[in-house]
Parts: sequence; structure tokens; C-alpha cells
Amino acid sequence: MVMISDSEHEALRALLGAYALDAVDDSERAQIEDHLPGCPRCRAEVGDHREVAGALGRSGAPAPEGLWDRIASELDGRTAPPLRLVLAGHGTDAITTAPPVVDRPSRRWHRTVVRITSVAASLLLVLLLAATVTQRTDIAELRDEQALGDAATTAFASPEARTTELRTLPDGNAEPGVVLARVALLPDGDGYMLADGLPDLDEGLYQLWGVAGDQVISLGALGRDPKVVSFRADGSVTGLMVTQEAELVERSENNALVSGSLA
Amino acid sequence: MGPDSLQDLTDAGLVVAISRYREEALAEAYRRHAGAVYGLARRLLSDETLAEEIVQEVFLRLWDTPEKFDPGRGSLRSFLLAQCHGRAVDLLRAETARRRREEKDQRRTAEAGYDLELEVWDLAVAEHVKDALVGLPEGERRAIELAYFGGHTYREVAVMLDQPEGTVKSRIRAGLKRLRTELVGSGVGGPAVDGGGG
Repeated sequence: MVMISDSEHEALRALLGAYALDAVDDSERAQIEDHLPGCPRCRAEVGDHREVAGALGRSGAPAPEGLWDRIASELDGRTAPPLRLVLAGHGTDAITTAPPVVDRPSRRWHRTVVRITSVAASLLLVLLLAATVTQRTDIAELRDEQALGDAATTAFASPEARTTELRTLPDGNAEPGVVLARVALLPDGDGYMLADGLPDLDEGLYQLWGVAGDQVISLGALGRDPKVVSFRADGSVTGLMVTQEAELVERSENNALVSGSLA
Repeated sequence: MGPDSLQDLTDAGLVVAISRYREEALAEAYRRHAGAVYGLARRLLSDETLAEEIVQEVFLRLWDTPEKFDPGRGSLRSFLLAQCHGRAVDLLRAETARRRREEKDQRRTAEAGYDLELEVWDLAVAEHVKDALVGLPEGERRAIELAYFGGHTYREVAVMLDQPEGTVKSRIRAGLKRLRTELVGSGVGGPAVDGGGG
């Protein structure tokens, strides 16, 4: 988020109507788009303006015949991208314990970015900035385990994927260095974890964290008995950790159970 | 899940299904919204072929990057129309720039703008939207029409209307807020799931 003065903020706010109608020039657009991720108020205003613009744009004209067929044929010709997960109704929903699918909106990293004082020294996650972890809802009926498995298999076979093994850490309870999960992270940010080595939990859940520089980012909950999981993480993530939590948390003070560095 | 249940899904649910590469979910989204997207593109570009290309691009983009739709920030239709508008305006401005270079006709923009303003009333927008537009102060209405349907920047609109840029900027914003107040009672804020997509 770029910090701006109050007067600069007001100047940007005055542009939001024109921005929502694509009626600003490129430099103004860039300024606004730098600002929006860190300003919920301006984001909400743009959303409102766009909704009004959407009402203006609703003509009842039917799309030409045959157009859908052309689009469908285009789909057939495309290489299927890796499974990608989106949120349905996220943002304000109560956090729930996770299904065996993790996702996080890639465009909301600013909301889940947290800082830690010394990851390397203690692996103690001391999160200084509040984070909002959002969780998908209403997806159980839509989940396609087979597609997830296929996508994960493809990702692990991809020469472009960064991969790692998540190994146990010396915490006195477990033998260190045991591989409990494996991860493949594709260049487009889609990541997959095969986590069948993590023992099932009777209560609570596993939570996945990404390390990016001096920041630790919650990548979402893994549930109690994760097997195949997908998540999102961008190229700045160089390491991954898993903690055990009572519930999905914004900050953790637990030691990581396993960790790994992305090659 | 069969086609019937897809028809019952909310737009947000449809997008989740699209993210799982369910082609029939994209087909349902197309059925709901393609008509509106096509209508807007054709209105902006006055070119049916280009409008079809934009529809194709918008729906393929939804297929490729469904996560860009955030149901917390508006309806799927508004999202698709915003994508369509942005792309159409890009084309329009590129075309306008080309024409300007070739013909060096500085008056063209203004003339096109006024023609377009008249055409706006042919739009098959819902009656309550027309009513809300008519209810706006004229300065706000004209600024919004020229910007949205004409694809002009607010600076261009200021030149067309011979008004200060700041005034136009404010009128667009104020007019949109006023429209929202008028329309919100008509259910504009909710997701559109009508089947008018053609």
C-alpha cells in the first residue's frame, strides 16, 4: 500500500466515479489501482459505481447465434490450466474449519500479510499485523476430488513447478527430518500439497503458512486430515510451514510442525 | 450435478463451478449475461464483429481467471460488463487515436459525442434505469453518458461540454451516487440472474 496524504486521498476519491467508467487516463488509473488494495472505503465506492454502470449497460439484445459455439470450441483447444479455486461469498463469513481444500484470494495478500520477528531463529510465528483469513463456503457439493488429484499430479510432473518436501522440525516430540508432506508450486501461483503424512487430528486443524522475505503469510487451513490440498502463493514465497491450531488463526504462536524451502 | 442444478446456482456458485472447469457452468453464465455484454460492446463500438470478439474475450477470460471475480464486490453481470467496457474503450481509444493521426480532424470527437448522446435513448435499458437517468441533473447525465457510452475520458468530456475538468469529474461521481440511490430500491445492487442473455 502506498501511503498518501489526506489531500492526495481526496484527489483520488474525486476520480473514483470517472475511474469506474474507464474515463481516466492511464497515469490516473495506475495511481488509483496502487491505492485501492489498501483502502476498503475507496474499493467499496468503486464497487458501487460499477454496479450502477452495470445497470446502465444492460441492454436486452440477445447475443448472436453461434457465438457460444465459437467460445466452446475455443475451450476445447485450450490446454487445461491447473485447478484454480475461487471464493464464493468470502470476506465477511465466519471462518470455518477447513475442507481439504485451501484457497486464498491472490489479490488479497495485503490482508493476510503478517510479519514475524525471527522466523529462522525460532520458527515462532509472532504476527505483528492483523490478518484476515478468508475461507471458502458452500463448496462441498462442488468439490471435485478427482479433478484436484489430477491437477496436483500434473503440477508435480511440471518441470516449471518449484517443489519441496515438508519435514519435521526438532521440537522434542518428533523425530526431525521426516517428510510428512510434499508441495509443488507452479509459476502462476497455484500450489498443491500432498499431505497424507500428517497424522489426522482429533480436534483443531492444520494451517499452512508461506514465508516471503521477513513476512509470514497465512495460506489457509488444511483441515484435520489433509490429503491433497490446493492453495495460492506467488513467486515471493520461498518457504512453507504447517502449524497445528485450535482454529484458523490470524496469528500463531505455535511452533511449525514441518517446514520446507522451495527450490 | 446436472444442468438443472446449475440453473439454480447463484452467480457466485457458477463461478466456483467454472473454476473447476465445468464447461456447462460457463455456458450458463453465458446464457445469463452474454446478451448484456454483447449489447454494451456493440453500443460502444458500433461494430458487430468487434463486439462478438469482445464477448468471446470476456467469457474466455472468466474461464481462465475466475478468481478475478469477487462476489463480495458486486454482481457477476456488473463484473463482466466492466470487463467488456474496459476492453471496448481500449479499442475505441486506439481507433480514435489512429483516426486522429490519419485525418487530423480535431472536431470528430465532439461531433461523435453529440451523436452518441442522442443514440443513448435507443438503448434497451430497463425503464427504471431510464427513469433514473432522466431524473439526474442534465450536467450529470450528459457527463455520465459521454463517459460511459461514448468511451471518453472525463477530460475529453470536459472539452466536449466546455466545462472545467474538475466539474465534470465531480458530476460523474455525484451522478453515479445519485443513480445508485435511485436504483438501489430496484434491486440493482443484487446479483442478476435473469435469463436475458440470449
